[in-house]
Amino acid sequence: MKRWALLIPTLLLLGACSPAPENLAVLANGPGTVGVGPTQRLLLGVRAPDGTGLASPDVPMELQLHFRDPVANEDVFVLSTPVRFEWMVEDVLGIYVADVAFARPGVWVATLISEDGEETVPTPFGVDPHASVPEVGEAAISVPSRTASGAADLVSITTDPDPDPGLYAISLDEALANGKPTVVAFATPAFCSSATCGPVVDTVKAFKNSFPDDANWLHIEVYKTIDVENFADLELADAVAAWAFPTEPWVYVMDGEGVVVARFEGFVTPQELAAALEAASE
Amino acid sequence: MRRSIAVFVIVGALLASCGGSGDNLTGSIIEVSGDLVQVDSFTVLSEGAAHTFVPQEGAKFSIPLPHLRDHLRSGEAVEVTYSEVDGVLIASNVVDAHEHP
Repeated sequence: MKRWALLIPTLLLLGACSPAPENLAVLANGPGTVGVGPTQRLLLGVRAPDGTGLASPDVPMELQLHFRDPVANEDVFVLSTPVRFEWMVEDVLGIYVADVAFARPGVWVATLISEDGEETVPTPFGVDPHASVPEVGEAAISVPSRTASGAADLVSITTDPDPDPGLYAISLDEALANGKPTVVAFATPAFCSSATCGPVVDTVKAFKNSFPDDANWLHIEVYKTIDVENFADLELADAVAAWAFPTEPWVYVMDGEGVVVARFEGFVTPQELAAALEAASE
Repeated sequence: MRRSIAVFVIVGALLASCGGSGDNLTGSIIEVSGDLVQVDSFTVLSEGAAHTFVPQEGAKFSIPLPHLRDHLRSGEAVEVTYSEVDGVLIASNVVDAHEHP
């Protein structure tokens, strides 16, 4: 096992029940999803000591990254970069986003710095040699997904309360082979009922209605069913298990060759999706 | 009668010492360890302190625990019902805090 894989939970456990007088940066990317190589979309929240979220479009921040040198046992400064604020739910909830390419795996340390020089507590996080989910530039994983034609009704294949049948018209493996760009949302809308998460299926639905012929548009549910006695009994849908997502939701955009041109964890803005669709169509 | 009361008091004291009564804590999620099926632990920041919880095995949670990652992104508060056993915080339920203002 990688040494830093043990280090991070240890650091968190050491922090348990200890005072946290300063603001804290929270990396919201899933475990194993940040890798060396292609530009990574880091999601960064800021918490006040009382837990209040502090991310705001009115508070510009800069991200400072250090690499934790395991030999010298010290944090080595690598780069500073501005972060942008993005709404996950328009005018309701937002988060800071940074686009960073990592040159080496291991433990990295993120610090957010405000314009007046206030720094968050340094937050360690892991960068893998290769992300656990498909990266930009790689072939998408071609697997069948459930479609309306193969189901008794839409309710049995989606938890979207207002489902668009067009998102369940074609299986993922067929979409990736028909020469058109493909936009797919892996998400469980039913678990996004409290406005705490980005409505990615609604975003994809809106784009599909605006540009129906520009791509294959799919929504794939994360779980086989959410109608379970206990949430501990949830089972991943086959397509989701094949993609090995540790978190949801995700939106992937592939070009006509089935190669990933963009991937979005947690939420996608209309601007991000428009740019990805344009890149996939070139 | 006195014997029954004595037994009741002793049992009550034992349960209290195990933390079995269930405390509540409201705060912001700052770490989730696990995947889309199983969450191994999660950490809540509340009133300046970080508290790491382990889900109680077999407990029926009001929300699927992987949903806590949405709270990790959003900063929306959660309310945890828990007990402390041998220094470990065992969570028996988690709800979106805004549902319990």
